[in-house]
Amino acid sequence: MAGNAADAAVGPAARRGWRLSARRQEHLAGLVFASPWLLGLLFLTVIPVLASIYFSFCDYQIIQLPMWIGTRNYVDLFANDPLFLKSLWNTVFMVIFGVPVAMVAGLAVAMLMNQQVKGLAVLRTIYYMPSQVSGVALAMLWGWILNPQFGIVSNFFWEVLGIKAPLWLGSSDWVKPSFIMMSLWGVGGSMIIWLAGLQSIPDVFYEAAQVDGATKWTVFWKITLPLLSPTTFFVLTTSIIGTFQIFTQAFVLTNGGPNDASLFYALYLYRQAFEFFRMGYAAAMAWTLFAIVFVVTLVQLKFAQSWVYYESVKE
Amino acid sequence: MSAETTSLLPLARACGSARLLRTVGRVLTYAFLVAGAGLMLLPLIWMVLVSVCENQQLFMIPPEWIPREPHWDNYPKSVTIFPFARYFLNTMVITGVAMIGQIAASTLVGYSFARLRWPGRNAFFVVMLATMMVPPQVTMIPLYIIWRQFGALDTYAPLIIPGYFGSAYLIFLSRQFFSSIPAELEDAARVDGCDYFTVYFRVMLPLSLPLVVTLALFSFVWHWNDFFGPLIYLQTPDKYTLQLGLRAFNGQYTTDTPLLMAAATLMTMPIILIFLFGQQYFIKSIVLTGLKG
Repeated sequence: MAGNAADAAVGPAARRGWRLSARRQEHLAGLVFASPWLLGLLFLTVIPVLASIYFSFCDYQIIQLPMWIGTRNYVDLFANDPLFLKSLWNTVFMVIFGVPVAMVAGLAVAMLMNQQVKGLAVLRTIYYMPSQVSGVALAMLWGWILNPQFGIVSNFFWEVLGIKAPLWLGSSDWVKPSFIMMSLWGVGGSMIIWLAGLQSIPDVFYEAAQVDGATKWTVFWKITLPLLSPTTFFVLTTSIIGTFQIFTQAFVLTNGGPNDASLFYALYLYRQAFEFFRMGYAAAMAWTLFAIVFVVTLVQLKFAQSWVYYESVKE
Repeated sequence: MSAETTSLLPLARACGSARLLRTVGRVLTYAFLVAGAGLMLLPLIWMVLVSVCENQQLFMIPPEWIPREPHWDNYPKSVTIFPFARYFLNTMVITGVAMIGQIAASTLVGYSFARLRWPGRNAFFVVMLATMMVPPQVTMIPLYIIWRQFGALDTYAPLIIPGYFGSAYLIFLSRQFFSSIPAELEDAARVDGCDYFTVYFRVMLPLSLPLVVTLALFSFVWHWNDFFGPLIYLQTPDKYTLQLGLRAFNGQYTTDTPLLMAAATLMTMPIILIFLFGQQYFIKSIVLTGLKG
């Protein structure tokens, strides 16, 4: 590289050579800089993905070599494994009821906050903070909060409202709603994204609506929601993917119970892989999960064309 | 919004009812927000309250939640009843060493995606975004088997080494950050004959302190909160992280809730402190991803 200046001074031919080598240099530097991720892509993603496709067609009890059994794992999942179907249903339940509730709550809080409230920074911190607390401590805390006898929620119901509260995590009917309640505590994570979306809507739209005498309700449905649709799309997609990952709380608090009512997809997959060491079967579950997420995302992308409005496209 | 408010003011003055309506609206807004904030804080406050209670007090009917006198000695008790210090140290080592690699790799790769031209770059960038959609379960099983082949089960290698290949999300953040820095600085350094590495380490990196802090915060929170990784890879109790240790502790002392909550409080404290210290970085990172309406 020290010779660059000298080369450049020689003549057009040499200069072209120098240019080429400069381009090559940039290619080389780019590849070297990107090499950690490129290697990671190969060893942590591509090879494992291929291996896991192969395993999913095998009987693989970790201590023996994988044995090819064709589509048996997939057939077993859907035809002979009621627990799998139950775990799928439990997770779909969370997607159908938990995701919309959390999304509406997140948007509602964000909209309230977007009205130029005083103390916004403090409020935002308070709402956002819980979403960063996770893991075992959080699960234990909620286990105690939802304790049917001594927990704060049940006692609130009894002392203040005079209602005998359900057993929450101990009831197969209420365990999933309990998990939805817990997830609402982390609503700040999506709220902060909604808020960024709301703040990026130009004031002109609202002013124009004001001039036209639109009601708040109309403004919300005709301006806020359409202009927010890319955010909605993002939050929806990531929430659905996230719901299929629910693991720690269920593992620590209920371990799938009672009566397998909180046996979620990721928990059942963990059991198959790391308690029964049925690696092939678990790989088939993982690929089924991938297929579900893929189809859901694809369907959303398809519908997105009709309801998601990207401003930049128009510009 | 400010323009809207000012344009509304004369109107509101003109008719008192509109003004009243507006005031009611404001009051309701604050009422909802403050009540919600209370609900958000309640679990954390309760965790701390319970952690200084006497055990029997909690199991009375109706339970008493305000400690008669705070039992701060629950804290020293909770950290001696299970090897808290040991687990804390283990967690710090894993988090610290993994963090360094994750930050170094993610910024390097992010810079490459933002500023260097190489064949296939844009295609690889799309591939990287796509990998974020792949559920971790898909690669988890083969990775476990690979680490097992290497004899790395029950070591920290599977928890630390993957960070050194960068993380897709952090690379994405880095790329967005570097793209926003004006190119003139680099060009000047290039004209002065600096090579790519010098430009990166001498010019770009010193400008990227906010980026590095953001990545450090994310990486810290992820590794600190990670339960699944340690759960499948670690077996010897001596090697446990806080998350695993607390779960084992939970199994043994289910009835001593104040001690459990004291341990939970201690474990949550670093995350809350980190968050309070760096929340503006978390919030800015959302702007950085370009996620807006």
